[in-house]
Amino acid sequence: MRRIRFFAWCLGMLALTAEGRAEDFVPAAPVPPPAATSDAASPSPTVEPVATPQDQKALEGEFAAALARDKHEPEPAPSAAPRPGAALSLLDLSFDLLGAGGGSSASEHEQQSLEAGGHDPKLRGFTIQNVELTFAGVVDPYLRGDANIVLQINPLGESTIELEEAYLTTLDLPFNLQVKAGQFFGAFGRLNATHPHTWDFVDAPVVNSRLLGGDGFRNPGAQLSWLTPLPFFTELTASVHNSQGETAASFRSTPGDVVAGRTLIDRSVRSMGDLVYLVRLRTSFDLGDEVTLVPGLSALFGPNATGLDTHSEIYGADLYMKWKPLRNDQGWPFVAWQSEGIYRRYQAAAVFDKVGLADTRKTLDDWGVYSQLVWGFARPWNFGVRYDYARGEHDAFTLAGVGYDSASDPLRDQRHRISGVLTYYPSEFSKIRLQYNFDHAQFLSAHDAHSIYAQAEILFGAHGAHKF
Amino acid sequence: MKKLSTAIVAVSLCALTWLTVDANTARAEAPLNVVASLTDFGKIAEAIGGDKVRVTTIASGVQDPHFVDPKPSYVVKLRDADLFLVNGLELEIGWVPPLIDSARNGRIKLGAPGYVDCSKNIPVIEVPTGQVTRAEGDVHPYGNPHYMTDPLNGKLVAETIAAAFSNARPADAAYFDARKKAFQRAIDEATFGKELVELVGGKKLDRLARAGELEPFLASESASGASLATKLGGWLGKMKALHGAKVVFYHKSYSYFCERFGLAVDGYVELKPGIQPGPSHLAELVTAMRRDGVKLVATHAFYDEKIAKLVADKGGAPLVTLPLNVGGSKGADDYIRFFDVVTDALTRAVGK
Repeated sequence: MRRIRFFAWCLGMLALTAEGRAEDFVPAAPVPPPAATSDAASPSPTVEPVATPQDQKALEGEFAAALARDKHEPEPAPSAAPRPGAALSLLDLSFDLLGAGGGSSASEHEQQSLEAGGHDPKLRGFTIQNVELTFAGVVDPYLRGDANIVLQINPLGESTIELEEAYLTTLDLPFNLQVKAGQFFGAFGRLNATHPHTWDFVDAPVVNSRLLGGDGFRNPGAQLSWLTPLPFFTELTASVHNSQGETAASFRSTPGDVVAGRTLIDRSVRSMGDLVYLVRLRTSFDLGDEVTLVPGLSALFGPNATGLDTHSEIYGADLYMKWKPLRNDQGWPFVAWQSEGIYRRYQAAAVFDKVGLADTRKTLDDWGVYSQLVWGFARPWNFGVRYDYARGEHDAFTLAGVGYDSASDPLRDQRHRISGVLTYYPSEFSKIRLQYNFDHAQFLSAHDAHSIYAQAEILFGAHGAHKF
Repeated sequence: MKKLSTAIVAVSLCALTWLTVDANTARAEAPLNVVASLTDFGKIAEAIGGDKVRVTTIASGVQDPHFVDPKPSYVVKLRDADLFLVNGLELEIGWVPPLIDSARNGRIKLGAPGYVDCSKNIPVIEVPTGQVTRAEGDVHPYGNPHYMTDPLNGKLVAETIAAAFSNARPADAAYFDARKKAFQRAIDEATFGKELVELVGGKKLDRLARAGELEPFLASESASGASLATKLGGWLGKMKALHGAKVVFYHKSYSYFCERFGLAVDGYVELKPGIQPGPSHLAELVTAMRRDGVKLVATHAFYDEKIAKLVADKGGAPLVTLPLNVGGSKGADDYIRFFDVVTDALTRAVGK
């Protein structure tokens, strides 16, 4: 019922905005030329309480002279030509639909683990990966607001709605500071804070979906970022977030889930230390006019729910490098190379079963990298390749004397993936894509898997800004 | 441990305060820090501001101004800017808003006096009416944003920039005003010819040209026995040979220029703004070109040269590559030389 009401509301909003847009396009009635205000605009003299007839005459004379001057010397006033009236920009609304179709040589059951990202195609056949409603607008001189509401159809065929992001951003803080608060993606690395429709591949890198969670790391919180006064771009970001829920998978996550044989408990927040803290440093250098380098370092700290005193730490390093000639045809050609390495130290509490101690307290080292190269070889075509590697700690732990079993815990498995993708952009607002993945993983019954996915995207509504 | 972190915070706060205070005291005497989105505005800002301003430009003249990456290094330029000059009319919609958002500089945010939209005084053309959708391509709802291709609009932009400078530095208002007038005079002389400007006056010529009454006026008036029409010099005089000539452009980037200099646009190489042409559209275009006797095909260096060349060859017209902004081709180093280069290229192509 609530869902239906939400939809009705969304439709209402769309209709309203559409009307507003239509009006924007109709130029308002020609604005009459502004009267020559050279005299009128000068500060008005103090009002004289009594006007003698002589004063009156003198004033009349002044006005007559002023008017006559206007008549004889009309300013060449091109600025007075008809112009559309100002359009009040209240709410930018856009709608993005991202879907994929295809399949894998791995079974559908295995595909769920093979494609662990929340927006990845997990089924043979079709997947509605991400339907995103975006709202954005300036609130007042001090704040802007952004919200993304995501609709999906999960593998069981049910529609789901998520408040993916909804946050305020300050516009005018001193000292080059900016505050963001609400529900938003943590600024960890390059990919985490971006939306699936801006990705260069159909699916998320393996390491991201494992260590930051299928939907990436995002949770209600507050962020302060500082653009330093250094002569080259250097930005320091720090944020604090809640630590529970599926969007904080490496932290308190969801009670009842199992991580490395430990069932997550319902652990409450007892102190500030039970929240998640994020820091990020991002810099950028231009190597000439055509090559830009953006390196970054990130870290996340917070509690996990395998025990009452266990913590997780995640560290990341990322590098983005882009070549684009100055003389480019609507953005083509270009070469963009993006790599991220993510490393997690996960304290797993001791675990007991009916027999007794099944495993002692361990610190699990899990890590992975991806590196992708996208080549926009001719407008409007891109070709990309990506290599993924991820491994979870499994040598160090046994459960009740039994070693790690990749089939029952595929997210700790050692994985290699090579992907190739070809994308065609009919316009700035749509794309069609074909991707091939080769996967090698122990948990797969055949050890290798071949997958092919086609993907399409449409975006309508406000013109989104390009991110770098 | 706690002491150490307190010390770090204290030291960083001191450093921050020192840097900020230092920047504020320096601001009063230092030249105005002006950042321009495009070279045209940067060059006019230099002409008006002289040594009272320091100008940095974001996009290069050879770039397509619709498609500029919002690089982090531009954020640093805008962080320190007192004034930000932009083209407006949504030309830079893909890259100026994210740069302003990231720059965290209240002086140049949208609506602040330091955010200078140079389209403010421009009579905009090709404003779409009625219902438009993106089925028409990437339309500009506020009208054609390439107004700088009319030299007379350069004078209006000079007005806007000088006003912004005087507002930021009232003490130097007279200096900016004098330099603005000199710049506007130079444009008038280059557009109409020095002699005609001396005889009639720049303001009147500007008004007549904008109203489309320049030719009848010149034909009807005479000075020292000769019709004024013979006195028309400058770019308008030079372009008389092309008056009414039919031309094909790659994109609607020269509409203001064509209106000013009397060129008749017969069609566009691209199907719709931002949409790649298909074979049927190109075939239709070439047929129309042959039928209408199109004199030349004009493109910009950043567009697909192969398609433009093919259209020109098949349609039997020479291909001319024109700059879109100052610095867009060899010799187009400032706003006046830009039109020297453009009018040279066009007259040379048709003279062949």
